[in-house]
Amino acid sequence: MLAALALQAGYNAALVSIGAALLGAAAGGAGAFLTLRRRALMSDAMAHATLPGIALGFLAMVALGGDGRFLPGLMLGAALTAALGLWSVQMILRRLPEDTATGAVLSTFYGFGIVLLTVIQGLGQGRPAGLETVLLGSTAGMLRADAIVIAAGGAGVLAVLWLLHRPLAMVAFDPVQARLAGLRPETFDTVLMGVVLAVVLVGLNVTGLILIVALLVTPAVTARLWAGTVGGVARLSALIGAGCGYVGAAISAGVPDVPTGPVIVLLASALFVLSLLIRGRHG
Amino acid sequence: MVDPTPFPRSEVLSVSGLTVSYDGKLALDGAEAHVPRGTLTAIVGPNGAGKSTFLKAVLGLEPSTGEVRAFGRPVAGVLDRIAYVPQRAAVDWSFPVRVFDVVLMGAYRRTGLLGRITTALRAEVAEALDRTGMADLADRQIGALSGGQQQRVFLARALMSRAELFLLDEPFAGVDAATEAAIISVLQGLRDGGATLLSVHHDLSTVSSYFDRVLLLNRRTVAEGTVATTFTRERLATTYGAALLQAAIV
Repeated sequence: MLAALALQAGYNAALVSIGAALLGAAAGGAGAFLTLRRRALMSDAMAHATLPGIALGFLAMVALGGDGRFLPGLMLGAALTAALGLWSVQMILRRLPEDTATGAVLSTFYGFGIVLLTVIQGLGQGRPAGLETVLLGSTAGMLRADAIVIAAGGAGVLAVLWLLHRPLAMVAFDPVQARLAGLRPETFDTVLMGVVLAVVLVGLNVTGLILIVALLVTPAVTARLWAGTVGGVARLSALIGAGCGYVGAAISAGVPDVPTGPVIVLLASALFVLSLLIRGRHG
Repeated sequence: MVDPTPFPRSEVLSVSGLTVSYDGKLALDGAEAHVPRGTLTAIVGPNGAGKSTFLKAVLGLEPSTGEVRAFGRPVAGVLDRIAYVPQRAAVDWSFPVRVFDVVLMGAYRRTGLLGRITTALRAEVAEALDRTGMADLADRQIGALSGGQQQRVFLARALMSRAELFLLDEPFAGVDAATEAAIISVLQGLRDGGATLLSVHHDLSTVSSYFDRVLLLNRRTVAEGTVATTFTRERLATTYGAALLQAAIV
């Protein structure tokens, strides 16, 4: 395990550690703005809404005679149903409160996804076990191409956040004042959810769609306990995410049969509990 | 900032027939206002009279019908010349941000996405904080401020916009006497510098000493004019209803 921490446990383990660190940084950064804008619950609904899209993407690719587990195809399907899920939340929000809307969308889309997964297992082809890893993630088979996707996605997310940090902070703090300053809150909310969607899609391979929300939210609320500015929270949250991703992947590589995603999330949770004990009154 | 458009009769804000309804109930029913440049107007009326709604509708933050013009043009095109100071409850004061950064947000139209925070801009923030008596608190977390200090931060942020028309929603609500004195001094200073200000105000006993004009509102405009001619017992009775006025003055 120490060897893994030092990136000396082999090419694949090093790849996984670096990939997980980049994902953690992107999730931490995006999560900072997400939680400041109080949209954590919505990101949970969005992450769960990717499942039917993944299953439909798999079915579509098999029907076309391809490999059902081709990652870009799965990500495209995931993005489509996630966007549909978010749109559904917005529609329901006109009549019902946010927790109801997100709860309804989350359970409906996720339930539909599970049904589709069961159907796929019934088909008995295309090694469905490979598809199930999208739920809880699996880094064991991470390829160089996957690592490049994560690196590019993570860097893209961090670049967008850096570019838009001022308007995102203003919209989160005082949306009315932001609007009067010429910033449409709806536009920046859409950008923010797009960034979060990118994190979710990139994270499918590492933590899976269920635990990615923990990687978005936990480093952000931990950072909030320590930092007093939006920039400080965002940077520290990205750092915590990266650290947990890196160390979690290393532990998972060094200890047999320990899954990467849950280890990363447990590390982040441990840091949060520790921070809460030390800084609880500062939150 | 561009030169202000020459405007007839120096009327900075003109509102006519402003109507807002929530679920079929009228919050504003044809409110009027004609506000000359360089004046400080109190918006006065009972609870539920639509005072806050009036400001929001003027700014286009509430769906409304009727006509609102500022500087002779539709408000949406001149928002850069208007500053809005909301009620303190409008934001979450536990948000991780320092006083300096909130005030700086008032200059967003000038800084943009990535514009450098220049020394001159920092000096301007310091000056805005100094004018509101907050010079020593620039680095403080907003969560650690008193109610009066929070209100002053909002005012300092508004100063950064270099606006010519200021709309304030109860700037004196729940603040200490020192803050009240600091705020009214800033508002009167702005007026003396040529700015035009409207402020929702609750304390009838200070209207005459603080303001030079008054807009009596109860879903519609009951009366509008100088304090001397308009802020009369009869007009107030019409605005509040006679019985309520007793309660308001006591």
